[in-house]
Amino acid sequence: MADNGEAVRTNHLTKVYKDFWGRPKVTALDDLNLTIHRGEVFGLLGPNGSGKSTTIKLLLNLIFPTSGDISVLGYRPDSRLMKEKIGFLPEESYLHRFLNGEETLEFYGKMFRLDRRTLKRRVPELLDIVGLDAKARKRKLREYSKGMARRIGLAQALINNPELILLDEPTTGLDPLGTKEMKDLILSLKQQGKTVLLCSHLLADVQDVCDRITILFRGKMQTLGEVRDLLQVRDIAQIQARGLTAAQLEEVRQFIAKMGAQDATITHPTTTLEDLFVRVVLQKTGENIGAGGVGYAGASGDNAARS
Amino acid sequence: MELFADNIEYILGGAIVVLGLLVIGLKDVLCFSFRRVWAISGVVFAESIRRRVLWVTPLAIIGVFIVAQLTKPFDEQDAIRQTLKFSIFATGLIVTLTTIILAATNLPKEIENRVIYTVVTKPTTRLEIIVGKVIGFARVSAAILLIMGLFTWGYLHVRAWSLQGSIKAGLADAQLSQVHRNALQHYREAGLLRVNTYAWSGEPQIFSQPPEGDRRWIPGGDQAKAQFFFDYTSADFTPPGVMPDTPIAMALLVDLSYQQSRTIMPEVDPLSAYGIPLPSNAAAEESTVPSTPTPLLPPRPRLQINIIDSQHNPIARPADLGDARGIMLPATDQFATMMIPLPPAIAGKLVTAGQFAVDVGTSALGTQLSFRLPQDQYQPISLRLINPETNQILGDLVPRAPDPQTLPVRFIGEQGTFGQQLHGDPHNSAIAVFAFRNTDRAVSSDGKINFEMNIGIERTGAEQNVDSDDYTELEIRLADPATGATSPPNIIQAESNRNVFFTMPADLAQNGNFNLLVRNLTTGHWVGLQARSVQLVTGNVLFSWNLFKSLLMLWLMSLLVIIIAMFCSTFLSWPIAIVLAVIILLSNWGIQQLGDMGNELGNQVAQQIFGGNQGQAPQFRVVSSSVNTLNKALQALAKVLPDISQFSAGEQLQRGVNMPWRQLIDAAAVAFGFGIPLTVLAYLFLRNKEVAP
Ligand SMILES: Nc1ncnc2c1ncn2[C@@H]1O[C@H](COP(=O)(O)OP(=O)(O)O)[C@@H](O)[C@H]1O
Ligand SMILES: [Mg+2]
Repeated sequence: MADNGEAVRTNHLTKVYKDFWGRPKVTALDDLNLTIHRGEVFGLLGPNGSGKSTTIKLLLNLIFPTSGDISVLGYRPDSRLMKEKIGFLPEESYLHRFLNGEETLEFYGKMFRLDRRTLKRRVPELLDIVGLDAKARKRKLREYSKGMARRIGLAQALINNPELILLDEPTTGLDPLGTKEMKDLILSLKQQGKTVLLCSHLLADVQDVCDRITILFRGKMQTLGEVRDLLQVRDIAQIQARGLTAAQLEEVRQFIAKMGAQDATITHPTTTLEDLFVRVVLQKTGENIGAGGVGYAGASGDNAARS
Repeated sequence: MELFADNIEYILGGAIVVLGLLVIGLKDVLCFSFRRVWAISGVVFAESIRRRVLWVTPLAIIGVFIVAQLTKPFDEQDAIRQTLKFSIFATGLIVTLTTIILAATNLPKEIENRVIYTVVTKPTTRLEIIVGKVIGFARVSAAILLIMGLFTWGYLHVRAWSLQGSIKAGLADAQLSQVHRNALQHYREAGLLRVNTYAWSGEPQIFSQPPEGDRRWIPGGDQAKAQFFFDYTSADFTPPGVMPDTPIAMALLVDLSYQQSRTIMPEVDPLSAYGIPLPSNAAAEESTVPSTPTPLLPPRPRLQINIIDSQHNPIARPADLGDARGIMLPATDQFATMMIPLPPAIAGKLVTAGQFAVDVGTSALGTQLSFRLPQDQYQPISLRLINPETNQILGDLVPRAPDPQTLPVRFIGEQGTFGQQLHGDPHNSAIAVFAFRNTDRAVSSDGKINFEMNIGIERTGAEQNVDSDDYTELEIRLADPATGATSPPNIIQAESNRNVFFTMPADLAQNGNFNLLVRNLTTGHWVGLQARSVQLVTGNVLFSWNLFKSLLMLWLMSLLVIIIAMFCSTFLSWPIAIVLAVIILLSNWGIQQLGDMGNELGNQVAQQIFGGNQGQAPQFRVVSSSVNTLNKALQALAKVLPDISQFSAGEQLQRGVNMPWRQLIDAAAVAFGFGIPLTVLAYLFLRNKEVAP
């Protein structure tokens, strides 16, 4: 395997779903050329039915491409070695409903031939990371709520300490707190040098964590680039300050106007509902907010402010 | 070519395994990890158990309890054996049903609800997934079998214990018949759970006196007949060198002698009163013309000849051969050949049938017919083909059995309710001969061998009141067929459908070949005899061990069922997969039902269409041969389908018979012979399947 710094590459990848008689039904993916670099968090964005899940299934050999090539970590999708190094969280976590949380993770661990000792250490560790408490671990998965199922799904994706993690709609079914934890987790994975491919139709998710994104629509790639570049409105600057009186603010406004700026305005920033929710819940549980020094995100929501 | 066709299933199976595992799937084979397979099977097992699949066992157990109450066993041992048989049957039924449903639904459902996503994206292979699931369900069926096995073991021990109580009570009853008492005493000593190994004879044959060398005697009074097989095809009726359209007439040549017993004609030797015997190669026209018997003498006996086809339908009755009363026997006590011309209509039917049997017997009471067994140079009966225009002999067809190793003749008694009838008579009873060949013998410490007998007995109306004694008296002797030495008689008492246990001296059965000669001494009682009416005890095994082997057999069957169901589910939705799996399991058996008819099927269908007697017509041949070809194609198909009849254990259990290892090995051969290639096929199908709904 030649490591050329690419985690995923697709070449003219096309998938046409056929009906029972082999007649084409839906072109779910049309000539996708995608390169994901190692170490980045890549967002695959698009409305429902745009082909995001189809892309992931193709990468994982769950379905076979109609045409085009795929390489994942330098391997072909049907390679077993590739599967040793990836983790996958499907769109909705359907796992074996009659196993409990611990058994589920042990089972997936055994698929990687992890020995007993490693499993004994790794399973509780992962359950902690995804935030499943002791009671939940012993309960069968069919009794799990959607959010708990999502968490155990994430845990199984991380059981092998993968290099590349594919997350299909990771935040569906999660409450805002869970969403925030998920995002924090993705960022910490990035910090560990892992590559993350994140599919979502929730723009806020992507915006907060992704380095680069592409937008899919009707199976075709529409845009590709760095989130910062794509979202930054370069000719508008924003100044934030705390503790100024109304008179002082007026003075600042006049000063800016004197500098020749057009349309100078001063407003009080609103926080997002998500940030508010997180703050309220965390205050109740007596924990620290931990992330984001200011405690609210401005309209431009630059993720540099978070990290 | 022949070799190829005969072993098609192994060649096909081997090719699938080699191609699938060593060529296509070599990479998956090389990284095969049993640890992963076991983990996959563990999930399947845990899921089945937690879905309370094992709750089928109480249902089966309740079924066994109910049926055990409803059965009508003929005695205590039969009660145990019937319960055991039903218990095993119920176990087999629930294991099959449960595993077929579980295995056929598992994969489609995991794909449908996407559980499969997280499994196939792990570094396991689809080979491991298939094998793991098969093993998982095999563990489920083993759990069901274990529960049912423990239940059966316990229930039967309790039952046997409580039946011993009723045996004790029965023995205390003074009214008890001696036969019943003997059986109960045997049960008390041997226990009810004993499992024996047995040896059996072939079908018994009925004679008027013990066979001697190649001589055979059968009684008159319609008690027995000699049945000669002619296993030919229509083409054999045109001998080589004869033009196909030459008209052919036929005659039966019958060579036999007879004696009339002195109890009927004490004073006169009647045979000397009649003419000289005919030379054996001359036509015996005379003998077929009924002559008026001299009033002073008893009538000369007549021979009744019937010809039947392979389905036992009559082709010719005595009336068709000249005289409904039969054919007058020649006036000689020597062997003489009679020639009986066959009417053209009968001859035509024989050509069409190809396979048929000629039954020879006499209804004359007190007469016995004597035959010599067919040999190369000598035939007791043959079918002569004659050119009617030139009277030229075209050839002779002699009796021929489908299997050249067996004699083309057997001597059979009249068929009654319970088998071949052996009429009772204290002095002149016929003899039933059970031929035991190549048997093992368990010789007891006092030099005896043990037999068990179970027969049905009919009573003739007139005798019902005369004989107040309930039992039937039988005289049993043992004869060495090589030397003709015969043991002293052993007189035993029997009752209808009651087990009789008796012993015979072992010395005449040294090499495992012996004849058991049975006479019925009780007037008015007609004993019915079958191949398994008398069985030789050759040993015994532990009840638990035999039960274990039966369960192992069922487990092998469930393994095959699982694999077939899994295989079907790799390319079908689950409801159709269940149906197809059932069809695959049953079709071999179904085709076998057709196959038993051999080439007869084509002839029958053609006869249905064109009517009989058109054996030579071209359309007839086209239809019959195409039906036969179709039948052969189905037979070939059956060879690549598993034969589940290999897994039936009920028959043995009911007879309390040890299951031979051979049978288990055969069952394993079927289970793995079909199971392994089918598993590989399932893997190949799944490998090329998009596992998304
Ligand atoms: N198995 C399938 N058969 C036919 N069409 C499908 C199948 N799976 C997905 N599609 C179609 O392909 C398109 C892309 O689907 P998908 O990749 O699931 O979208 P999303 O971006 O929401 O994940 C949709 O139009 C969907 O209807
Ligand atoms: Mg999707």
